[in-house]
Amino acid sequence: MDLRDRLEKIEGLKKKVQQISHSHQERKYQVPKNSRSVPISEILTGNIVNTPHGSCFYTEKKIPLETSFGDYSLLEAEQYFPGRANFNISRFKNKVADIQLNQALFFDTETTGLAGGAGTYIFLLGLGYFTGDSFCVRQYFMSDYHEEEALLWAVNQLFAQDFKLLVSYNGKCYDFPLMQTRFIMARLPLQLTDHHHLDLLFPTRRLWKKRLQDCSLSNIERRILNIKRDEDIPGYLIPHVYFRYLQDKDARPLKPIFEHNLQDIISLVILTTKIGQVLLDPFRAGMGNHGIDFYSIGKIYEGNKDYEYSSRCYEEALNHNLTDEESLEVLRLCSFAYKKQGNWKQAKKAWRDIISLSNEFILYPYEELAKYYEHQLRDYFEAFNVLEEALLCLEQQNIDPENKDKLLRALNYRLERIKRKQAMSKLKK
Amino acid sequence: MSCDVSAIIQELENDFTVRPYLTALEHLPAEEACLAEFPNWLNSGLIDILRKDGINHLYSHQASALKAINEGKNVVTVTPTASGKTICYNLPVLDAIIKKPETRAIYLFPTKALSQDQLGELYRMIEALDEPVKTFTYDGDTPVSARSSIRKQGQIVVTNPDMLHTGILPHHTKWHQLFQNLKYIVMDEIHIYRGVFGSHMANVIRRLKRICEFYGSKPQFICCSATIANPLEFSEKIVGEKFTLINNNGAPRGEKYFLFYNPPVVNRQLGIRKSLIKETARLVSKFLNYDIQSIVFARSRLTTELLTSYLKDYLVKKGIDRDQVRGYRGGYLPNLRREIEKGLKEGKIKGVVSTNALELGVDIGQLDACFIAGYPGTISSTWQQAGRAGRRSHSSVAILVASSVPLDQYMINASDYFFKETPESAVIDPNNLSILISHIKCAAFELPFIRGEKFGSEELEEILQFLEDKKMVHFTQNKWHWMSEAYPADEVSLRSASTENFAIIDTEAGENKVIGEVDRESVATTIHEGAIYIHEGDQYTITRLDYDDYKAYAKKVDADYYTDAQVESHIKLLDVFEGHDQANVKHQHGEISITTISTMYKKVKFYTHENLGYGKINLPAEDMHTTAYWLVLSEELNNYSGEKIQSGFTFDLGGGLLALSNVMVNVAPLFIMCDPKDIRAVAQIRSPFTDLPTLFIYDNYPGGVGFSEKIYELHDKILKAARDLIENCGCDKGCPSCVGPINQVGNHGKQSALLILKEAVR
Repeated sequence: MDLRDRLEKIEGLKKKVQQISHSHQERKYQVPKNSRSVPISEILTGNIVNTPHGSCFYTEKKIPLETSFGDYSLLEAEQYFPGRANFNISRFKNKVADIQLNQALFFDTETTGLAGGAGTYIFLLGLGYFTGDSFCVRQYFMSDYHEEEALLWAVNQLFAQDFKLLVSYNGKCYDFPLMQTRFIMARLPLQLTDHHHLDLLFPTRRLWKKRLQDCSLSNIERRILNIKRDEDIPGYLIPHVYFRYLQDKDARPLKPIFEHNLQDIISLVILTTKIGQVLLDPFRAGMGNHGIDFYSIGKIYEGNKDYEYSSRCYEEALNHNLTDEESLEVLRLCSFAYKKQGNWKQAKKAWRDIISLSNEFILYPYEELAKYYEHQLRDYFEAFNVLEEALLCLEQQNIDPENKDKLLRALNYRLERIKRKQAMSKLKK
Repeated sequence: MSCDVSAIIQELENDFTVRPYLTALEHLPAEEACLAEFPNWLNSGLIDILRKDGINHLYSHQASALKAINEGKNVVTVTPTASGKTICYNLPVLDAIIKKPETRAIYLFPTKALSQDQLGELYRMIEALDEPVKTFTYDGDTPVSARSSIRKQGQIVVTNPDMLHTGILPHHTKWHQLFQNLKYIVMDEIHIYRGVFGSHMANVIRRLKRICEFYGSKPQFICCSATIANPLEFSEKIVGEKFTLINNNGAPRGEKYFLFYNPPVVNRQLGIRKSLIKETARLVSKFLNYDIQSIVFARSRLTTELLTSYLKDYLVKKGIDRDQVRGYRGGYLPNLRREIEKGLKEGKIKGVVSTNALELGVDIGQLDACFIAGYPGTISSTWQQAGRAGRRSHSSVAILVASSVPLDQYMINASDYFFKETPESAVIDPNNLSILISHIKCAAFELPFIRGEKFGSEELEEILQFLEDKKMVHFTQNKWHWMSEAYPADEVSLRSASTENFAIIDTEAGENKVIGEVDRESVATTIHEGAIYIHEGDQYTITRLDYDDYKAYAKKVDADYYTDAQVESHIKLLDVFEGHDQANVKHQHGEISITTISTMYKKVKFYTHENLGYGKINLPAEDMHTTAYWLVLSEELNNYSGEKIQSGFTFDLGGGLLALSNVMVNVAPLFIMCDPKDIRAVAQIRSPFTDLPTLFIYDNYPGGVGFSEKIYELHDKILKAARDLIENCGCDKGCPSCVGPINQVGNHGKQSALLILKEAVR
């Protein structure tokens, strides 16, 4: 048997075993019969950039700032941009305060797979930035593997300009490390050393994960930004379309990938704007009646120790439809935000609301009330009453005896102390 | 303090319950230390640390190793257990890092457990140094949060082949600081990398070297091996470079006794001997009486646990703390293992019963006595285990106790064979096509292949063209680039068995306490529902097995029995790739499936070993698809069976086929370059597929690795070699060197195998 037959047999059997063991499915593209070699320059207008490492193709699109995408126009980007928009994502706030919109570089990559590692390549790298009167998107394309160095060299020229902030979606975990890998593989120094990286995935999750679960960029576009894509190419097909192009050099099927990448970059701008507005002024950011979103915003403000604002968000959340479980959680956070502000009246009301809303016995509102009477008002009689009320309520509960015991002990401990204090204060009198 | 073993040897020789059953008593005289000075280039801080530990000299082999390493040579050190081989690599590595802190080293140990075990000495030295040397273990258990700083800062990175293969090499760009400055690669216990595992390993090293070249480093290799026949050739094959062999052991050794013990026959007609377990326990307890620290090696988990239970019972009877005897095996959790190792070193534990887990270099210090309950299968492994006993200053003893299986019975009665024969060779075939192509894919993922590049085999370009046709790589401007979404390293497992373990959870210990682990292969026999799982001598019954979630739930019980599961396997012939008739026989090769299933288990009473009943096992059968070669014999031979050929020789088809399968499994590896464990032979007197007497030899790996195809190609040569081997073997009616022991193949097995071979290779 010659080598090729043996290889066929070996690989055939391996595939069979794989199929048996994990019903391994493969998605391979067949080259269609009608394909013919069509260069990329025939389907897209663009330029060739010449570098010391060869040349590569790129497109440049200048989008007027008046253009709207979903709920915003690009003009609004300036208004709500992090630096000005009091971008209240903790830890990030100070770092980006001085950065101007035109120092931000929005970026997204299209790759040959999601596996990561040295064998995953970036074949299309899109970069967007604001110039005086437009938003400019450049897309650098590698028409075969040998153009990678030229592509990286060309984007490096752009990186070397005065950009201070990278904006991406999941770029911290995916696109950026992959870019570092590609530069190492090409033995080129990456000219992005002194920059900040705003990965919108993180604030997006904090704001909308509770409501949407699915935080993919396309879902966010649809549900939050009101952006509609027509005939978008599904992400999982992208590597296959590129691999097919490598073989038949028919660039026509690549067009949707360029469009997809362009839309991603625009969405980054719109999403930054949306997040900026939501954080700056949630009550006017068109949040609709999603109480749960106000809850998420409230938590962000709380994280920044802005208790007044966070309690306002929680109040707003309670004005919209929440499940009982959600209401209880919002009330809890809200009550503590009031407490932190020393707004005892509201706090007291919230704890009372929690007690009446909950079907089960919850210890903390009683404790908090008792502490309030004990420490703030020194009204031991009221504190005693609250604890008595709690004990009465607990005794009627049908819960796990061990747990009940624990709760009883906690209450009695406090009760004893109140009794002691009561006795002391009577003595003093 | 334990007493000298000579006294107890004396007593054994005078003990009428022992003396008659000793088949060998070999005395190995003490050896003096052979010392050498520290080399003058060695960092004085390191020398000071050693001196503080009372080490004022190196042993000769350590000095030779250091010299060769300092001269830039790759080194393989082959010296007995506890001869201080870790010094041979720790000193040069630390010296290099102290002199130039950017220097990096990789330590490779065959398993995750070993890598953690062997670092004790290194850590002690590092702690004593002024400068911190950052040493980290990077394996599947390393927390994700720690990984990035290990990649950037780790000066010594300790890992295992699997992690290197799937976690490090494919992500080499994240490790560029390491690869740019990589000076040493330390590979300990390289004798483990034999057969298919070793062939994979050699390819992983090819990939590693390719990546080093990309980053401009050319690391030196420092290897250590247990005693094998061909350490130099073997290391050169694994690493693909010239090596210097260091085997001038200069470590001292006290005198040593090596005893062979064959348990007495209890039923002469049936040839039944006293139980291996009970006899071993009896001997060990004599040593425990003398307060002699002992290690006992058992061949299986079950034997390990039974011996542990029996010895603990003995201690309790004597009114001694039962924790003076401990069990030790793979499934124990790391903390427990550490605790036992420490107890042994400190002398708090008097006896440990272990599977071969302690055969490798786990640091437990040196013990006085070693018991080997059942021949471990190879001469090399037997010496390795025996090496666990052996103090530097006073005498020690190793005792091999035979089971009743034929190979044990042969060895125990042929001690000359054991003491004179050279240990086995380690064989690998890095260019095995099936293994090679898997790693070429991985390598193409890691770095594009440049036309004209070498990757071991001469056939690289043709293989790359094949992968190009299969659309896995893409050729442009003289380079092949990876063109697939797949992560090829995930599709190649370096080992036959999956490394995923089942956790055993004690349901009554609260908070779901995990008490041990079992590998997937052993699930059906050890943790099926109803099984008694013995852990450190305590019995648990398995109440529920969650097969999909890799969990078994156990409850502590006090039963007077243990369970023993029966395993059956069946061969199914699926496809014939090629075949031809030759003389009276047929040679074929193709695809088969082997189904392994456990359906029943026995309940066996402790001590008496009587059968208390059966239980059912409801577990799915495990199927393995692989390739096989088979030899189909003629109808004629079938008819011969039972016929008297000449006086004193009656043709025995069954015995002959069994004899032939034994000899083939020993001979074929030399031609196809694998380890005997990589292939299996099964003989069927009347195969349901061929309807004739048939001998199957198959690749013991899912999907096959091309061995059976090679056997098919070389069948004439292999069968002739088998014939020559039998004809030239000096034994009368069979021995492990040819067809296997007589009591396995029968009185006429050897002759019958010869007759079959004459038919097959005219």
